Amino acid sequence: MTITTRGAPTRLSFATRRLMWLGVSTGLLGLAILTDILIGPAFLNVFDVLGALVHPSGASDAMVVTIVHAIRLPMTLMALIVGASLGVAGVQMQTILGNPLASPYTLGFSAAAGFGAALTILFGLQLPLVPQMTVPVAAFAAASVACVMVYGLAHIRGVTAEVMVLAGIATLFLFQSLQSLVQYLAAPEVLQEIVFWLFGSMLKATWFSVWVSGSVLLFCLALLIPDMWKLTALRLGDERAASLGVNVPRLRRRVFFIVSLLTAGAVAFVGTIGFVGLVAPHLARMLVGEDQRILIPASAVFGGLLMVGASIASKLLSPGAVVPVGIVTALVGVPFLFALILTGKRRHW
Amino acid sequence: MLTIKDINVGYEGTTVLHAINAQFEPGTLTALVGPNGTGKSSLLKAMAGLIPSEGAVRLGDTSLSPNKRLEEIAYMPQDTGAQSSLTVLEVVLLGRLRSLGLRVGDDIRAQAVAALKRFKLEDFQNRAVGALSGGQRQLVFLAQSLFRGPEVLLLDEPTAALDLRHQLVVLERIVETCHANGMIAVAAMHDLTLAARFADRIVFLHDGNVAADGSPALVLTSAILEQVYRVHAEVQPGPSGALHVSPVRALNDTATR
Repeated sequence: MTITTRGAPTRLSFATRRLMWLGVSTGLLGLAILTDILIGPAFLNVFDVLGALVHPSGASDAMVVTIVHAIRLPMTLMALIVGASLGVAGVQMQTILGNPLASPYTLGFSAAAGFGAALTILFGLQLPLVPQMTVPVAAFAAASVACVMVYGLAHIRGVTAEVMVLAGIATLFLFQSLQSLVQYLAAPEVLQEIVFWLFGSMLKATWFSVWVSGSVLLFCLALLIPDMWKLTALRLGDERAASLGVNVPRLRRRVFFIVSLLTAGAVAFVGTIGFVGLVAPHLARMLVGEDQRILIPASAVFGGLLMVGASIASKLLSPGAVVPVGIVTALVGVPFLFALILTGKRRHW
Repeated sequence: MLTIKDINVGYEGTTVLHAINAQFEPGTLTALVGPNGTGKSSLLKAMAGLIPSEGAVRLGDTSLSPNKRLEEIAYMPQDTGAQSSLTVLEVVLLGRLRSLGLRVGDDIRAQAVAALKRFKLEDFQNRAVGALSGGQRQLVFLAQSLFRGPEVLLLDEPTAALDLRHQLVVLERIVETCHANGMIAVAAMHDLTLAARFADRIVFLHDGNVAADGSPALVLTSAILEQVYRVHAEVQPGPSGALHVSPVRALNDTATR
């Protein structure tokens, strides 16, 4: 057989290139995190912020330390965690459903979380002992209900990608309608609160939410590690993966619940965030390929980068104020997606 | 020895395969032939444990449950033009999915490259499998199946849509591996001349039943082709000594499937 070898890259260069992309994007993420902490509506001096960040006990202005540690750091870390969670949830959704349009948002989990939050705000419900946790718990619970609905339908009809996508889209429309109904019924001042939650904003971030969402992310990543090669195999299609010894329905079921947990953990505290879970996996796949050992961290990094980038943009758009980040994610993400469509190759989708 | 006993397969109330029995010897390639829709793919998938079936599959003295079949039997599906951006090396490595961890050792990587070398594909190891031609892709998936080192390899139309050279390369490598490793290979095929040239045995399936089973010289006859395919065909020895099938015409009462 005649084989042309011109231009074939070596193993080293290929592996290096992948790691290089991961390294560059991680470096960019680091820069973005620093930038996001340095800027804000309080217009603090950059050196004061750096001082408060690096050596809080030695800082001269206690207000700067408080703003940096109690407001900016949790907001930035929450943006990072939410972006990473949605990036990983998105890449796994696209993997198990074999569908480039799949994301936690498009399958209704975020809409369900929004409905849970809106319902709680409408009725003014409060949990005993931990009233501040009422809305996050309700959002988490509603996202879990959406997950059970999608899975329940798929379980009855067969755990195939097609059935799960259709069930997810139906769930999305159902919870969007319910959200609209709640908004229609709400009094104007309550409606304002609901709409603010639905926008998705890092202003809701606290150290508590950082710990909870961060723990959920780490827990889910640990759950995904044993299945990385099986998920890589799934990209060859159900039949080929099964012929390699992968129990496809069981894998799909397991990862689906992990995705649900990741999504609920990400959006319960900060509100609905779209687009990141859709775009970050595509960017990661284009640059590092489909080996899940590197695709998962890359999706987390790109998710974090998009989210922290959106957080920076949300502060710059309106100096002195912070535009809800959920509004900005699409503005930041759409150029990436257009570039992907125009330059990407079909097999990366 | 691989033994299948009373394999029944049905889809939505329709029986596709009726109590199929057969034995397959180590070191041999068996061609599974028959008209479209006669149950060749279903039989292979049932043997591989990929679809529900009744009946028993035994490897030597061991009875294989469907889950055990997935572990013990390698199955290579038809090429469906996978548009994956997985690299060729990653695809081959997946052949030993159970041995792969977070870090892939140099030894297993070297073995995967060696598997590609058998097909002169080592220079493609970092290419996306979706960017290869159909023939190259089929060789990659065959390399993946052989890299697994299976006792039994089932292949669904491994030469479909391949050019002449790739057809020969694929079948030569399968036969080589059968002879070298004692592997049992069963391949669903449509090209009867290729089947006669490479297979040790041909099993004709017709309407979910075994219509004929034996060496090419024994079963590849005009009468059996007429019975199974409803065609008039001439069967004569070719220049290599293997039988050559020349279809002449379809008989008038042929049912289009």
